[in-house]
Amino acid sequence: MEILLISQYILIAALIIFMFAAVRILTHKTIAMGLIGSATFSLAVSVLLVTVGEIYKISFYKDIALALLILGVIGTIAFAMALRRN
Amino acid sequence: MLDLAIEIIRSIFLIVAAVIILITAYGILKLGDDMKKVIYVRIHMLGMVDIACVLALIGLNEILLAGIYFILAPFVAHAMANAYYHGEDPHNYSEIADEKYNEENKNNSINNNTIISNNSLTEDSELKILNDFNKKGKEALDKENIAIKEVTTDDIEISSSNTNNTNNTNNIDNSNTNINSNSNNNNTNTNNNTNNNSNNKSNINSNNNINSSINNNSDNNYNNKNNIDSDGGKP
Repeated sequence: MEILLISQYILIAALIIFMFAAVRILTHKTIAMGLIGSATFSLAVSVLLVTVGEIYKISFYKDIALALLILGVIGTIAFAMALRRN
Repeated sequence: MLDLAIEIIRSIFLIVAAVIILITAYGILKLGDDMKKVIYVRIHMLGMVDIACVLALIGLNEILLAGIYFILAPFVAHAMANAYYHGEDPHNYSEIADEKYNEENKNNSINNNTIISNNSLTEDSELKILNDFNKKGKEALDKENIAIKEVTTDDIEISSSNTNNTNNTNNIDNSNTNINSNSNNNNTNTNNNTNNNSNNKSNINSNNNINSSINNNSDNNYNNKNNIDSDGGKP
């Protein structure tokens, strides 16, 4: 029981550190870098929400995470297609 | 007993995911921008994080979410790499090409002005210098793949009329003379050269190919095809 909770907290810490790295990618000047950074950031937020929802038993966090994950993917692909046309 | 085993497995999944995410974060922060095509490295890092997050979602007992993202993640990575390859990269290269082209043509324009201002040169030597000069300009154009714009003969006549003396009477008609120039300045220089040779009164009938490539601005690339009827600059 405790080991699962500890591993979840470790994952949360890793995700928070990773979010800073994602912001580092986001701040690059090119559009493609921003795209990668936003994709990674949205992914990290999604997993973070799922983890927090699992720990604190908040059910709608999973719904938010699902929406963010799917819409993030769709947005990234759409923007990449628009970028390619230019 | 079985629940404990499942919890341990889930914990292992979460810890492995956390370790992969931490390694990736370190790599992102450590990676500099001095590398060529660094974006592909970052896309690969994103792929690593994708798989780590799939593992984490499995560990958090979100199998459906993990399955969906496992399918969608490669599409995202491919879309980004494809967009960069086809969209942004050529623009970056064209900017570099424009800078190089401007530098080269700056030097070429300085050389051409000194050549044309020297009236002591003979006609043959002038043509030779112009041909050499045009070769360099053409090579620069081919090297940089810069688009060439067509300019009508009216543009050349207007530019030449602005620079030539009013006493000059030119009979510039159809012949096989091609003037490839990259700027209006070049047009005026070429026409000045022709008029100096003809002592301001010329019937030029020559088949000389005068190709000159001068550009002070890379956006003003013209391909002028003039048909000049002249008598080679002789009165």
